[in-house]
Amino acid sequence: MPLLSRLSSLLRNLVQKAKREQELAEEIDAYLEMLIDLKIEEGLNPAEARRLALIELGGREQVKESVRDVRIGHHIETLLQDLRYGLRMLRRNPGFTAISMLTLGLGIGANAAIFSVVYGVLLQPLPYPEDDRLVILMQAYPQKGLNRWGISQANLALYRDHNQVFEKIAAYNSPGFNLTGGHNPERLQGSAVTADFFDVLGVQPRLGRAFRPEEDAPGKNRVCILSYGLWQRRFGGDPQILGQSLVLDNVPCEVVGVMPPGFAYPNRNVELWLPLGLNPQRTFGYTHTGIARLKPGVAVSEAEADTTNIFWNAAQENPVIAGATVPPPMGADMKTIVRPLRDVVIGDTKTPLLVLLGAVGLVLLIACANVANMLVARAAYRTREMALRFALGATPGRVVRQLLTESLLLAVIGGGTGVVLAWFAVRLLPRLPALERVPRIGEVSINPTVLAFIAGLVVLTGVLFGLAPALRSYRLGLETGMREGVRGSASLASSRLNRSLIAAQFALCMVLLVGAGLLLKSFQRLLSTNPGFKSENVLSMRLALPNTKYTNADQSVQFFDSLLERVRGLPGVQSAAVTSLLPFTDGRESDGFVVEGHEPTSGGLAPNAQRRVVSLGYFQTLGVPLLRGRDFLPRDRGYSTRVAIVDETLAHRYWTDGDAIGKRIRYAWSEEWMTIVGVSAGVKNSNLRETIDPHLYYPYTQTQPRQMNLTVRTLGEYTALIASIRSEVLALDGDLPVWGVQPLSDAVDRTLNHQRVTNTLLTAFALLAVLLAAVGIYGVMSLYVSNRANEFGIRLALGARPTVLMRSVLKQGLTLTLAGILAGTAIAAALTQTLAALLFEVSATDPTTFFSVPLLLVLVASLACYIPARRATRVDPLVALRYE
Amino acid sequence: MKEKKTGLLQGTLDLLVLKALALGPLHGLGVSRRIEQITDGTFKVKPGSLFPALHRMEQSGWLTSVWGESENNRRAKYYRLTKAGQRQLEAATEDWQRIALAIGSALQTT
Repeated sequence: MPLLSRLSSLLRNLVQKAKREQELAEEIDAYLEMLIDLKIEEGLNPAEARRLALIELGGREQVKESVRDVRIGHHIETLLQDLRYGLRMLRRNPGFTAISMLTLGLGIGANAAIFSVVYGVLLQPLPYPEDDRLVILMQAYPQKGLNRWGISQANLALYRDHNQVFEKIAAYNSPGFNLTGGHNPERLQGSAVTADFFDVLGVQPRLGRAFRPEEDAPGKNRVCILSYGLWQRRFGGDPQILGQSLVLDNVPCEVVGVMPPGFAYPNRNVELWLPLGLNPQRTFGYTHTGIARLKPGVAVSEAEADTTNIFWNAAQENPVIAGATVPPPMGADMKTIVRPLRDVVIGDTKTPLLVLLGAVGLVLLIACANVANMLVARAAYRTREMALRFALGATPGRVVRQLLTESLLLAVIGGGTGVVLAWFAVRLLPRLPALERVPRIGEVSINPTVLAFIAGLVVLTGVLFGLAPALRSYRLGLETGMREGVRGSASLASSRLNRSLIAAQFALCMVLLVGAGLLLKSFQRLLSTNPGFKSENVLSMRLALPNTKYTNADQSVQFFDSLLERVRGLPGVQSAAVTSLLPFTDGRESDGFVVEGHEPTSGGLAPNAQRRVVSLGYFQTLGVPLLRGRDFLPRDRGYSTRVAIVDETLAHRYWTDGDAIGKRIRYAWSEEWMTIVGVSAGVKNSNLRETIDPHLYYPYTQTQPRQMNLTVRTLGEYTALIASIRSEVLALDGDLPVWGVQPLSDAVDRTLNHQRVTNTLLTAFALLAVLLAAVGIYGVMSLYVSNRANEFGIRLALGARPTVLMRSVLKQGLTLTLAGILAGTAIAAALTQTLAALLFEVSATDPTTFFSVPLLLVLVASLACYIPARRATRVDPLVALRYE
Repeated sequence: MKEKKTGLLQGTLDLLVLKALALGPLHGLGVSRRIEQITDGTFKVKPGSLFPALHRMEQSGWLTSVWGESENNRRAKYYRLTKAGQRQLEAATEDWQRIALAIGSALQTT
């Protein structure tokens, strides 16, 4: 059958190639001779017979080539041939090869690195089975100012018992714990989870077991599961760890399991999981997050609708479950939020990553344009080779195939370089402190998907820069044959291609530079934004009093009173204070409040303000101006009049001129009115971009302080101070760890890190692009000048002034640049809309940027064209004339 | 440059070559002349089309070749039908006749 026969022919063709060729030659020759004999028999003389026979044959080489074409294994053979030839060509032009390798390596490498981050963070599934069915459940009541509202334990029981959309639902919150016993007390970040938690995620402990349902009840939850990291770090990977007891917040808990390495839910800092101790009657404490696995085929919107319904109906019957005294009125937008877990994890990294991917793609295009230009220039020198190939019987397709193979070879070499570069870059990524908060950064690697992407990119690149020069060579070969002096017409034809590529490069450069410029300007604006406080020279750290030891308010207040007194007495301390939540570090905590005289009508909604428990001296320590009234005083104790300080945002909302002094205000959940004694300036909470929320402060002396941030304004160097403060804390309570020590300016800085990284990368890419374009235009103008050497020589000989020649060359170059800039401006104006989300107080079509970038490009282009322009004036007229 | 015989599909050329060899082995020129003969001079196959066809069919196992001596005592490569080639000839002939019939009747209807 044909297949077997073809296979054996394939083998024979490959192995006995020389013999085959010889036989073929003999066969064709024999044919020719027999044809000649025939014609002689018909009466023609030998010479005439030979001539006619040759014409009839149609060319020996062509016939042989057409036979070779149908030979099985021909393609493999020609491919190998082309590869060998391509390698030889590359070796013969080491300069070109080196530049191309570098250019392509940088372009492809950058793309590979960025893509591996995009894949690892955005595209890759989460490390849980069927992660697309995992969702986060929270609540919301935007009319009350609650855009994201945690769920209470009663809420969880409600959803668990009545839903139709979840396979399983669990909840968690993230308390911290003081781990004591053994050496130094240490603060551990933990997560209190319901018994279903690990089932929902689909991950089981590596050692031991998950929690049992009976352990998830109040009082019965004295067990814990460790993270792999904690097990290794603090317990040395002790194989006997199960059954040991850890003292957490003065309560012993038995270790029943250890999670596998890499498991990090809800985040990388969590090292400990405990059962929540679910109490379905507990209607307060909206601090939990629900996590659930959808039933197969259920959409997120369905789940949201279902749970919203459940919430509403329950709130109508029993408003307490929604934290209210009356049911929500018709038209209230109280609802649940159900979001895919993956979206929540990815957060807002999507836009910057995609912008970077786009940018690096543009850089690759520019790099390809450079390589294409170089290849086109070289093509002019290969016309004789092309003509020879056609004479020897090559088909046009064959020639194009050969040239494309050479290009692909170059692309593969560039791609290999790129992979190596990318590999190093990716290894570096998790080590960079600026990137430590990027979600899933630990999951980024050069994996098979990334390699497939690189392979595809290599092929695409090879075709992109190889096709035009290949077609050019082919057409040149057809037209010019073996004539000498062919360079003139060749150069004219190819220069149009060269010029459009250069213009395109500058257009893309324009886009990249504008993007980078906008981001840089935006960052500048951000940096100069006033957060409302002065973060220099402020040291902060956290401590938490476990309520197992500090059972009543007096004990806690006493502790902080003593601590503050001691700390204020330390040398180097200008002022000290405590606060429940620290700006730019702790996130937000808001609560409903009621202003006397502005009570919401029954069923109406209380507005929200940020709730802060602070000490006296807080505003002074953080450098927040007090605009009216006074700070808290030592006489504001638990037994005296309840006092509060509001910020100007709140004050201006309710009182003309913001004069709130003497007015009364209370939290919605309390009946006790507080008298406002001061009005402070507004403070930004988590990042520099946000608008300022109203704040309501009250003193810790009039409540029970638990977890507080100690803030200290220092007079200069503070490293020694840290140890002193720690020892003061330990002197008051030997079991109390102090953690999270940092200068406040670091906290502010950290919120800018992502932006900084994006900016740095985008600027680097833009500059790389400009460099490539400059090299490109330099190359093309050099070629332009050397092609017109004759013309310039003649003009000089006829008395033209050198500066005129220079100007004409510069004009050529700048026309290209301007064409590119124009096109680029249009594209940039369209594309920068995608950046709008990242910009701060800068318009996407900011005129200054759009005006200064072209100037920069024109400057760069002029510099790049200067040398070729000067070379035009150096042409020796005699030499030029001689060659004419 | 090469020239392909216009209007002569590859399949048709194969069929003619097989038919030409049906009566006995021939060398390249012989095949060409025989085809010219049996088609009453309509098809003059150029070597640029003939040789690729011969080699292709040999690779597919329908022909075998052997070096021999031509009429003028020249060394020439002779092609011969194999059993598979014979079967291929029969099958292709049947197909062609069926197609010819179909097209013929199509052209006759108005």
